[in-house]
Amino acid sequence: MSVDDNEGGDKRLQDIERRINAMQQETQKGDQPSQSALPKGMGAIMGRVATELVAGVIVGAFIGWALDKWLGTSPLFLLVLFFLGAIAGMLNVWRIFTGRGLAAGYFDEHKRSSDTDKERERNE
Amino acid sequence: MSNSQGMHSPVAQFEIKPIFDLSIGGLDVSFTNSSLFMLLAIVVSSAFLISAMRKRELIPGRMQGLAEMMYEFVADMVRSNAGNEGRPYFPFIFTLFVFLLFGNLLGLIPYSYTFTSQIVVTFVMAAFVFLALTVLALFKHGLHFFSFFVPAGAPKALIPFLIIIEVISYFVRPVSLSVRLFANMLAGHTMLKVFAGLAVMISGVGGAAVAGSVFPFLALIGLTGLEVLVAVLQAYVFTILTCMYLNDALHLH
Repeated sequence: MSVDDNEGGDKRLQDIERRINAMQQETQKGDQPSQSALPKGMGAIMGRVATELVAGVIVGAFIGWALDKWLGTSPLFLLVLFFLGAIAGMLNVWRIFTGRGLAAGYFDEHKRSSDTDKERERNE
Repeated sequence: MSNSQGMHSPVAQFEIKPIFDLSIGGLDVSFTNSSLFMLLAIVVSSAFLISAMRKRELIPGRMQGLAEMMYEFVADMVRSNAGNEGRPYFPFIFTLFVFLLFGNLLGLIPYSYTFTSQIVVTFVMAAFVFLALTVLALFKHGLHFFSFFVPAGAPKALIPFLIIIEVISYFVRPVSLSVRLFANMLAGHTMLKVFAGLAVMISGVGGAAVAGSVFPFLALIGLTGLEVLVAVLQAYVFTILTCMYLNDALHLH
């Protein structure tokens, strides 16, 4: 009876230990952010593409309009920044499709590829 | 004919109505139906979380399980998108998620008001997130933050041009963040009202046409289910994008 109890206790302890280890691994994993899980359905991507394109033009045109108002150069900056905004929107769309998420700006190609290499090794 | 019978336009639901007028220093700060539902979102979500966690059972009941699921869902989102360094910002992200979720879901109740269908509301929220994260990035990385706008390995002659584009693309963030939420809620709620109005109009014809009103009504049931999904999904998307921007602010890639 008491032997049985002890064995059950040991098993329970081992189980708890295993679970603690699993949780600790889970916490360590958080050191490096893994790839995000944005919705990947066709509709969701189309919606994001549309908003990025429109938002790019809006922001570009707005900055241009504000600069023109400030410097009195209408419509020079409005025209230039309208197109630059459209380009920025397209750049963001390209980022969505190449798996860069919505991260704007500086993107270290080598760093990210070595990260995915490591992940692949871990998975294998 | 329908207008005389008190038919509402599908966009009448977005009208802001002051509940009691208030003006401070010439500024109109009336308490409106929009403010009422923001307040309700705060009260209902706080009441839900506090009452669910009041017992603090080791083995959670249904309500506690729901509250813990929400907590773990957001905690996991912060950790997988911003890493362990993002953890200090968890309370803010959780509050943001819960506020948007309850705002979106409360808005689906008939006769209620969806404050997330107003671009002013979503833009102010997105702009606040954007400004706070920019200040955080400047504080954490100092002037090194501006290297964020210089693409790696670009030809020297193109760099000034690329910097302008990157800066614009950085400023697109609050706009696309707010437009996405606002447009989804606006479109969804307008669609619901259009189908509901259609059902009422067809049944108003009388006779055999009444049977036809069952089709827009069936569509309305399906759309309501879809809108619940959209409400949860858009709260999630807003929050996860905030996490991704937080990651950029903390790590600059």
